[in-house]
Amino acid sequence: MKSVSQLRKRTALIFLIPVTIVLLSSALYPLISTLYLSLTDAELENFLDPNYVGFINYLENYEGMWYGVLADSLFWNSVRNTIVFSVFSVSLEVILGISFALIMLIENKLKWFVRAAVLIPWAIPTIVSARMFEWMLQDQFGIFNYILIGIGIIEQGKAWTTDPQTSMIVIIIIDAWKTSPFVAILVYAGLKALPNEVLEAGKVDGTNGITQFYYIIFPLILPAIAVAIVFRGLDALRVFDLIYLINAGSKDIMSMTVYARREMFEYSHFGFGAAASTMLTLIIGVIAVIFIQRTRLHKLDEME
Amino acid sequence: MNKVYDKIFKYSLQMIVIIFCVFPFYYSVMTSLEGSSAVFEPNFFPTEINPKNYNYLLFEHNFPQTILNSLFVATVTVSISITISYFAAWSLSRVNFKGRSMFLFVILAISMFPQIAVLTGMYQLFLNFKDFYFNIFDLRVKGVTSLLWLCFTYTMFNIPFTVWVLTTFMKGVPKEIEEAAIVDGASSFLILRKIFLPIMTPAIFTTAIMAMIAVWNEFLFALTFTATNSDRTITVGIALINGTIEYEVPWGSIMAASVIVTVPLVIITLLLQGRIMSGLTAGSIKG
Repeated sequence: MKSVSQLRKRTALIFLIPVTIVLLSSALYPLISTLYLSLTDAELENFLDPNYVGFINYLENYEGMWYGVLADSLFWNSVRNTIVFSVFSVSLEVILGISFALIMLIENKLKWFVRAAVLIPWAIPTIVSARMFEWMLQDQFGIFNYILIGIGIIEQGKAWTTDPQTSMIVIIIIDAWKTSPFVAILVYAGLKALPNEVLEAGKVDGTNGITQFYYIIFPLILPAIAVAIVFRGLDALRVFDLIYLINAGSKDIMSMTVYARREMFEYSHFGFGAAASTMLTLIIGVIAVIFIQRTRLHKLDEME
Repeated sequence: MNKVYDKIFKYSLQMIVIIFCVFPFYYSVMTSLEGSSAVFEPNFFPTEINPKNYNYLLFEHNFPQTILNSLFVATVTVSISITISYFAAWSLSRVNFKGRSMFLFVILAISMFPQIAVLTGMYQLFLNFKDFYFNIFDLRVKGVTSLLWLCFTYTMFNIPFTVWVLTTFMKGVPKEIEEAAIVDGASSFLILRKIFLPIMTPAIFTTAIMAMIAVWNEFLFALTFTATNSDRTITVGIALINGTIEYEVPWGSIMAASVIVTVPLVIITLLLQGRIMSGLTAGSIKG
């Protein structure tokens, strides 16, 4: 038998070669070359053959003034926006996701429709959801303003997406609309995996729903929620589409990814942009490691 | 009496969820069906059915081309990543070897990577690839360069996901099924073809659909690596629909385009509801 298992091991390693090649050539290589480019003066003209300049893209003191990504207030602004966006959107998504998951558990004729409806926002491309909400929130002809005017809350249509005071809120809401279903499905699966007695227990005791949920069910589905937070959180930190599409130029909502991409492809500051994206990778990397350690995601493989 | 209230309460909760999730989609379908004047009158039900927006997109605009491009990229990407991942998933789920957990951990880490982290390096590679490609092939087929490049980059971003999900699914296959074949002396390749393939077909299909949706919806790379009307994919296509007059946004056409690219996804999702749910959870929870 031993030779068979050795043969299997060898075959297994051979089967992993293609994946390894793809990941090395398309993930590791560009990652390293981005790192290197962040230490060069790469611009559009010398992009294929840039000069090494050290860390000046990150930080440089030139005649008493500080330059570089770390000295750019717009960069820190984008860091702040990204964190605000991530914290609020993920919190909202977790709250909505848990509520949806509990509603998905209700057994009646509408059950199928609820489960089907929840998947729709997930399947819709971000660009489409952005445009749909922009249209609904449009100042002159949008249905949202129409309703608000109808009820008498406001007198005149408001440009929700372009107003700096509301654009971040709008973006968080669109993101929550699009991704709370994902959280809901994870939590729903977590709830489904619980033994039936747990869900029934509270009902017999006559404890009210909220108490029962908080003390009995919530601790049990915490792992599922943690996983959802990790996935959503890391996704939110690299947000691009939504912010780029709603208002790319506005510094009030610009995220780190939008900032880095703008430096590269609008100003052709490839070296500087690479430095910004390296910073972003570092920030996300640190948060990811903390998250994964905390939630023991790396132990998943052993839970067979 | 209490029971009736309870029922009504539950139905209304469900209705809130359904309306919350479906209304924006419903509203865009409605807008897309209205002619230019009706579009600019807010209402909840269509006042007219006018195919004008669809006619414009399908016959006067290059939108059909963007759909074909997206289909091409999605098909190529998904076929390659599923094939590669299928074999890798077997290694990672059925065979015990040193470093297996490490491998899975790296895959998970890469799937959480910000795309922007590789964008500069990727762009430099792209320019080199273009040079190389132009030297070999005739310039007439250069329109395909960006699309081929997108296939390459998407494969990279899909593989961690497809490997992870397929590994999870394959772990669920009982050991006994494989053991009999091992005793008979069947090669791993044969086992994968004759034993796992029939069992795994639904899982592979689900994973493929989810990977396809991810490719179909991708924006950052598509925006960066496509430059001309002929090589755009649908997301960039929609983002670039503009009015003939500045500041006049053609909402009707934008909504029609949104509906065209979304309806197939919605239909697939509804048909495969249960499968997609298990795929999504396999992608993250069960590991």
